[in-house]
Amino acid sequence: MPGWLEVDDVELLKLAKNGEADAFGELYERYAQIVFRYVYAHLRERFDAEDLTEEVFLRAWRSLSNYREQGVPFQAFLFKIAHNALIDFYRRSGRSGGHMPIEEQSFPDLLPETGEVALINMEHREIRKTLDQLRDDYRTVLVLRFLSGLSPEETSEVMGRTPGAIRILQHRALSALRNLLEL
Amino acid sequence: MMVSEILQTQDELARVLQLCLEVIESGQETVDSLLSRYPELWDTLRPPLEAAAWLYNRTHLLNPRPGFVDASRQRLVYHLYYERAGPLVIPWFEQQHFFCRHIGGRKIVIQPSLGFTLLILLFIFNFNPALTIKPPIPAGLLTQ
Repeated sequence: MPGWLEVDDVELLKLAKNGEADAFGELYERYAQIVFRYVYAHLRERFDAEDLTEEVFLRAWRSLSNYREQGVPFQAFLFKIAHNALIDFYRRSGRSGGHMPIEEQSFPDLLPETGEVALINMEHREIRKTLDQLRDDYRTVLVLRFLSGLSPEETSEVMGRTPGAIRILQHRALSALRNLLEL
Repeated sequence: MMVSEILQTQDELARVLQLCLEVIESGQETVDSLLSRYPELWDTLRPPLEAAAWLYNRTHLLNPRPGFVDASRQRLVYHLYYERAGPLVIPWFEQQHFFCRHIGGRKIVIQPSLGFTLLILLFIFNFNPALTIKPPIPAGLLTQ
């Protein structure tokens, strides 16, 4: 179907559930970036985050028959899958769950980096190092709200809390983060 | 102060913070200009707003590489079409179980369609005219 941009998510989902791969491709285009940010905020390697982002959408495609539009919004559905995919990734990597503190990681020999890439990688490590010091629910709410750009309502669907509880959690998480920063 | 009042205050504070965040996110105001509108909440709102600004300023560091989304979309759609179509199946061969054997107690299966393709290739190779043309003069006669 030409002109996917004019088709809303609900219609794309209906088409995708009927096996229209191109419609699902359009959903991928719309949500891949925010899922990538969520995943990459938890992982060290960019390539792992890319692989996992694709895996999230592949899992979503295979689970579409279980998805009901009246229930959880599609974004929340995707982020729940992303959360489970991250847990599976940690298990495959030989960890029992939870995140890998940056201090425990040994950095492999990397190919020589250009100045700009090295700076971006360094700043990425700084974000992860800072977020890793926070409680799990604080880190999750901050990543979903500020890095993936979800609204409090969407975040509440992902985390299974009320929007009011998310606003309070966000307030506490931001205050905790501020205490860690040297601004 | 009663617990319910504390909770109410927390909720109100969280609501005000959310409003401030939305204004900052839209780019209408900075943290400083916003705080000047709530002088009584300066101490309470400043730390979370500064932390939020720190995160907003680093969002781009978590973006995928340029071209990644386009390339992986194509890869994904191709994969989905392939997955939906499934492997090539020739029904008659699937029913015959020609290529299914139990060896050492383990079931060894060669996909019938693959076996069929191999048989055709074998047939073409055996009856290739280029290989079956005989030389017009036996080489042995000239060398005797």
